[in-house]
Amino acid sequence: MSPPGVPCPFCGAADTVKEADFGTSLMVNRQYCRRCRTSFEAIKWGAPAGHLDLPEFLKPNEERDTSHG
Amino acid sequence: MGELKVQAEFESLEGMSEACAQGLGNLLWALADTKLLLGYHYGEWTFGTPELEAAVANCSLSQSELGHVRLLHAVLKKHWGEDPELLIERRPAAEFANVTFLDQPVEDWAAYVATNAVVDLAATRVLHALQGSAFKPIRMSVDKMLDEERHHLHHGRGWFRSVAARSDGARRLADATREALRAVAVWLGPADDVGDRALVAARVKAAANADLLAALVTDLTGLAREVGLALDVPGPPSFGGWDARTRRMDSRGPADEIVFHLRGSANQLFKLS
Repeated sequence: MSPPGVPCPFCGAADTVKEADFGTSLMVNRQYCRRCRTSFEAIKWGAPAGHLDLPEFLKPNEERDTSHG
Repeated sequence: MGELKVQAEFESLEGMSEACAQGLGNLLWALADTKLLLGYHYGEWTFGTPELEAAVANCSLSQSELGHVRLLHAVLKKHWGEDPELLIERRPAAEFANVTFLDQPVEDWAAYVATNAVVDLAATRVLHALQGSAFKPIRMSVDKMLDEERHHLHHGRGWFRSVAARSDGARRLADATREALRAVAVWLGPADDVGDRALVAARVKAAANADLLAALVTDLTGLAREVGLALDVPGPPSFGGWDARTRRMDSRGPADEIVFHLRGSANQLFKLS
């Protein structure tokens, strides 16, 4: 699933989905705008980590299951 | 050895006990070597992947691992006097301190997934234990590396789920994961390792390697349970002959063909220095 709210740089729509976790360079992933049907790349650093499939210790604090170490 | 001097922060090795300084040097060396070999194998898997997207991902994974090697080598050079060129170009293979799972070519996609989801996880567990380290020079690089490692593990776990769901892939993945776990347990080292104890006592590292291994096993068994994969966790290693510098129980290193290719030895003539 795409992180919500990655705006399309072409038309500004938020109706975008992540197509791939990695793009043409290390720091980007590939997105697709369903409104203007354009692929684009988005910088991933600083994006919420909540959409990533991570072991507990790498999740953002607010998402951690604190019942385990 | 006298009582460890614990201070809030180390700008350099000054004031650090000998055991701590040596233990930290060994750990960073081992991290750098593991990342060097991870970078090599990810690079090797830029073709032959089940999906083209995985090939693109492996280009990025390789690139970031090699970037981490440069960061770690810079710290090793400044504070331990290690020569990065020697570390890559002229060191005997038997001195490499990488996770031994990376010593041989990664033969199939299940072994690749174990590399990504287990070996990379082990290195990341160690990095995470250095977050907030009392040794300031490494602390400054760790956050950046962890930012990138989140995406590595996201990738590894995604493929772990995918391969585990296949009847023809699950058994092979379980076997590869077990072998990777066995190698990672040796690499992390024995619970009574003097250097590791000194690092934790000085708050250079937040958790002992034995605890990191237990946490890593919990990470993986949890993931395996989610996807219904029967994972046979290997028992603790004997640690007979374990060497704190190479983190190995024998004097073998990566295969000659890997070291040769990693160094670009076939193109020695064209090297820039």
